[in-house]
Amino acid sequence: MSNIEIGLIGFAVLAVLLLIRMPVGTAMLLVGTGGLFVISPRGALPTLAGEVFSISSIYSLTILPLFVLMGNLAGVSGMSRDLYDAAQSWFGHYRGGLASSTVVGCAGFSALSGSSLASAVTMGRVALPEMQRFRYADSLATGSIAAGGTLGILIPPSAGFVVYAILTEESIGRLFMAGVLPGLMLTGLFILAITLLVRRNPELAPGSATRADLQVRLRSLRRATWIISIILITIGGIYLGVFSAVEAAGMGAFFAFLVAVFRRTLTWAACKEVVAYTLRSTATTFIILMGAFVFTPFVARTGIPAAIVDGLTGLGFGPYGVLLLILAVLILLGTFLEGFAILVLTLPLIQPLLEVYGFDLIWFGVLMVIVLEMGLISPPVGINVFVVKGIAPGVPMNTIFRGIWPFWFAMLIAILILVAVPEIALFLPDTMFGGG
Amino acid sequence: MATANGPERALGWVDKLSILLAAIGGLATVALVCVTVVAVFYRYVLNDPIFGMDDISTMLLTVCVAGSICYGSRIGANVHVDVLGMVGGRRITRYTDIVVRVLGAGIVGLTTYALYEQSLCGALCGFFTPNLAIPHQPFYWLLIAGMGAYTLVLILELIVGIIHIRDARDPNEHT
Repeated sequence: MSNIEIGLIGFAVLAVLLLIRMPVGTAMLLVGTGGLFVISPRGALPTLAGEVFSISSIYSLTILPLFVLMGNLAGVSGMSRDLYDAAQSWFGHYRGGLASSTVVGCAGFSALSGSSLASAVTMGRVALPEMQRFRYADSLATGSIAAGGTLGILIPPSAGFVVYAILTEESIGRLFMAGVLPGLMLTGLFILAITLLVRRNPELAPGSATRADLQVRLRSLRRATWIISIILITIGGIYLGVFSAVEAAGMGAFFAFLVAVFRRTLTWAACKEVVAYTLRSTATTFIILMGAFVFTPFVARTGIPAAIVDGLTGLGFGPYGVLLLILAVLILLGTFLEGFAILVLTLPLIQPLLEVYGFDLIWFGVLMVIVLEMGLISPPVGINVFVVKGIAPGVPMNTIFRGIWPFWFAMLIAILILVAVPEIALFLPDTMFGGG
Repeated sequence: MATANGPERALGWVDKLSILLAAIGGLATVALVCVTVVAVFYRYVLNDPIFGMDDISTMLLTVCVAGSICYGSRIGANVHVDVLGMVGGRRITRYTDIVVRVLGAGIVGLTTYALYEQSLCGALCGFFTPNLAIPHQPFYWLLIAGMGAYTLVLILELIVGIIHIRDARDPNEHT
């Protein structure tokens, strides 16, 4: 049996294991180890142990628990509420303004949290009751939370970018910077989608908050200064070369801790909750990474990536044809696979292809993360939708999924814009200190 | 409904072990913040970088990961694709879950064994950090403890799942 055949059998087995609900990380560990054993029996166990230990001791990955901790501390300290209040006081009086405020709040919170789930949960708990109070349609209210939450993995810090950076050996700092402008653009597209929706059907947002006077707006902005300062220190610090991404994460967590202590919100129960959530996210990411680090050498040894490169280059689609094909496949995968799973399963196959065509991997990272965002809200397994369902148990799933489509198309437009104008993603990484 | 006192009680003990490991992981996370802040302070404020801080951070990350694995498995941190659950429901998943847990326990157990084998080599194989030469071995042991506890969880969840196979819901299913 040839190595390629072994690889194809490996992928088939992996598909079956995922279908029967085996966790992604352990499924990849199993197939990767099994495949390596078949190809090179003596190397399988040392590779397994070596990769599992090595992924648990990569310095740049210390960023993950640190940023998750920062996001959780920000949630506990009430800074997320401040952000929403500030957005609401500035935008809440417009028609559909509360949904737009939710998106802005999510974008801001995303700059403190690398997790889309954390963004959706934290902002959803604050924003949903407000939108329900003003009789917003359930589809718009829940859709804006689910979609806004996805900004968590695009706007830095982003767990998606960290995993992508580790797998492609790109710079985490440059990827973080590459996410900033597309993140802001997508926030704008979401708000545009809300505006168009509400203009077409005013019944979606029949009420709106009273227009706050300037003093109230400034006061709300002042309260949000804490969170804005931390965002500026961490992201600005990375851009200016003051901090490495890991140092920014540590400092951000420290400042978020100080704010929580200063506000007396860090009770013993809150402490335990923050640590528990941090460890949970750490476990989620690292088990998948362990699987990916064992699976990737197996895939590389099968020769499948090289065969795919040969096959696709032979079809004569041209670089952008292949790129659009890749994105279409990723979007399709997003409808039934979880985002991290797509990332770790497909990158070993895609990366050689991208390198052959000379695509910038930082730019592609941004495209890929937006595709993962689409997966987060795509039926039937859009995780953010389930998270929102947890916050709004009375709203049927169909209603939530109906509400996300305008945002899904906004993401598609964002991808097309970024394909046409890569500079939107590459401007900041190319101009950051030492990043050019 | 069948009783499953023995395995469920054992699972309760493993839960306690997972919380102990999680506490160690939590402390390591806090220490990671402190180390980073101290490193930044010395580097940028005192202009006197401390040598080898990266090594300490790296090993603290290993402790954090080791502490999180078993705990994460008990609170539903593992990502899986739940199309089968939606399509076939418990009618099918009650059987497929058995297969998943058997295979899961097998591969995680094998990982634990592989880590143990590798840990024996220790300094002879150059397993220490590059700057401070902190030996990897104690951190291997922590990972072995985390992976071993996770293996135990999967075995016990398998037994409990088999005992409750006729019930409407698996007591250890995370949604």
